[in-house]
Amino acid sequence: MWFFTSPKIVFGSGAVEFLASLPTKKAMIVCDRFLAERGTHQVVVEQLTKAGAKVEVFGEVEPEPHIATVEAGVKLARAFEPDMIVGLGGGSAMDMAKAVYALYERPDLTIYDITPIVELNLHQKARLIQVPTTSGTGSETTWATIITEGEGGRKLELAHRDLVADWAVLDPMFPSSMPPKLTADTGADALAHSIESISSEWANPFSDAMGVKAVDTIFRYLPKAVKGDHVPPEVREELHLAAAMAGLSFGNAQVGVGHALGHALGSVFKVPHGRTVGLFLPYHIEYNFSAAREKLGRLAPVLGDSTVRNGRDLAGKVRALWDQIGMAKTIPECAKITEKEFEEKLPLLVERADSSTCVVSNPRIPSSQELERIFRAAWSGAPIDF
Amino acid sequence: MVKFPSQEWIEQFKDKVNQNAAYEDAAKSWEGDFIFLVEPDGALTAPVALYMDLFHGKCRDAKMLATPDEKSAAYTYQGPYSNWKKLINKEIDPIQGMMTGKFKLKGNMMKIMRYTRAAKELINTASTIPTEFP
Ligand SMILES: NC(=O)c1ccc[n+]([C@@H]2O[C@H](COP(=O)([O-])OP(=O)(O)OC[C@H]3O[C@@H](n4cnc5c(N)ncnc54)[C@H](O)[C@@H]3O)[C@@H](O)[C@H]2O)c1
Ligand SMILES: [Fe+2]
Repeated sequence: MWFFTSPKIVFGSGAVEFLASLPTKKAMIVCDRFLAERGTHQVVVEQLTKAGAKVEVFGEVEPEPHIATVEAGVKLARAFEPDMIVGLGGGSAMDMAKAVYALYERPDLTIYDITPIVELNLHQKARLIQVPTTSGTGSETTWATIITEGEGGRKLELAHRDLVADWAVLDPMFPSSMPPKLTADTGADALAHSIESISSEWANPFSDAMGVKAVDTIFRYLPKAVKGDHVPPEVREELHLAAAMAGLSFGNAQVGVGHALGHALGSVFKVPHGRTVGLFLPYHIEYNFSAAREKLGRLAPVLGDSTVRNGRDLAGKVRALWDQIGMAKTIPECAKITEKEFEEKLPLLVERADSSTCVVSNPRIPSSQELERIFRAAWSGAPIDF
Repeated sequence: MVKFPSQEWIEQFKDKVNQNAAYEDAAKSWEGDFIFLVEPDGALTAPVALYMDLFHGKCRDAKMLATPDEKSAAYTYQGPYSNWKKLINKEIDPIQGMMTGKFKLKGNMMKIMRYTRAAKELINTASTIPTEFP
């Protein structure tokens, strides 16, 4: 027995206008600090006002957001008492909207109570709407929210089915302002979601369908979105939908050791999420291939029979894409750190990856020693041969 | 073959856990005891509680309790007998089992969410016991 959970989805050019049709009294927009300064939220405010809503903007969300920001957002929500919370931004703002939403709905809980194995009973006071402005995390369709404990602290991997939005609004207008590096980082995240979930022990026909389609789209369109001077709107739209599909894939099947390693590296050395999980994706494939050969074989219609026959070739295919879009393939390329700093922090990196919930459905259960070996391989660029 | 649930079964479980290097690695900093509560259904007519004291990758003590409230523990993992059978036969994933309501876990969530690998290794160990279900 298992579930496939998805928000209702409105997509395509003009999708944001749908917000005007949702009867709402008070809407709270949880928005990225940078986007709030640029005024990106105004188009959403306009639509919500048309719906008759009074609007409050919490525009304080920083990249890879912290617990302290959740607390500030919850305080505002409790005072304003919205019947709709809208996450607007990349994964950071959408994750923040989920955390604020959960603790607004359930004042009796702490953030640590947001685990999939307790009853939350949300959706009593307000609806949750997600409007992504990056094409990567898939947070608009998933049940996960990633909140950092504090400066240099762990990334809490919180999740609950009740955190899946009521509506995901996929309007390609928003990601069109992404600079190439952000497009590459976030696209890499979406590819990691798809491939890790296809290889997951929890993969199922629904998640596979979404994952395989997302892989196909990302390989086709990501180079065009990163390289071109002017990115055609249809390319943006394809990638925006692919990121949401990749979210539906991993939101219903889990990611794996690639994300465990990425969360550890990102939290210790402050590297953006997409860049770290992109780095580890080829290592995830090489490490897991022997245990997930059949599952990853489902990518044959998209990537070709010969590519999916062994882990080295499949990882090579991803590395070739990374070369095209300028993604890092080793830790020194990814995080600007010295070997000494790396060695000093290696035990902490291993400990963080080890305690990640992302390993729970990984095809192989990695020992601490294996995690250390993968980190070392990612430092030097050596293939995984164990 | 050993019968589940029984004193003999939990003793075998303890021995197997203490021989499992993968569990020891995953749970090396774990401190906390468990009650595994088997709720009656099918062939089982009364609840049975199995107690395990898990500490730093080892099991220090394990026994079948005379009654479920003989002892309390940091965590209680409970579900009906027929689901325990599926869990031990690896037909249910221990974590998915909780998310689908087949099992319930009581205790401090923040702590246990860091030890999902240990939980998996623990169930893998239980599956290696040649178990007989009456
Ligand atoms: N909940 C999930 O399922 C899930 C999945 C993967 C990652 N995450 C989390 O999401 C976060 C990363 O999200 P992200 O990669 O989307 O980046 P982000 O939200 O952190 O944004 C990165 C930067 O891009 C800017 N930005 C966002 N949209 C833009 C646009 N359209 N044009 C120009 N600039 C824009 C932001 O202002 C910010 O400075 C991490 O905290 C990660 O852990 C969550
Ligand atoms: Fe991710």
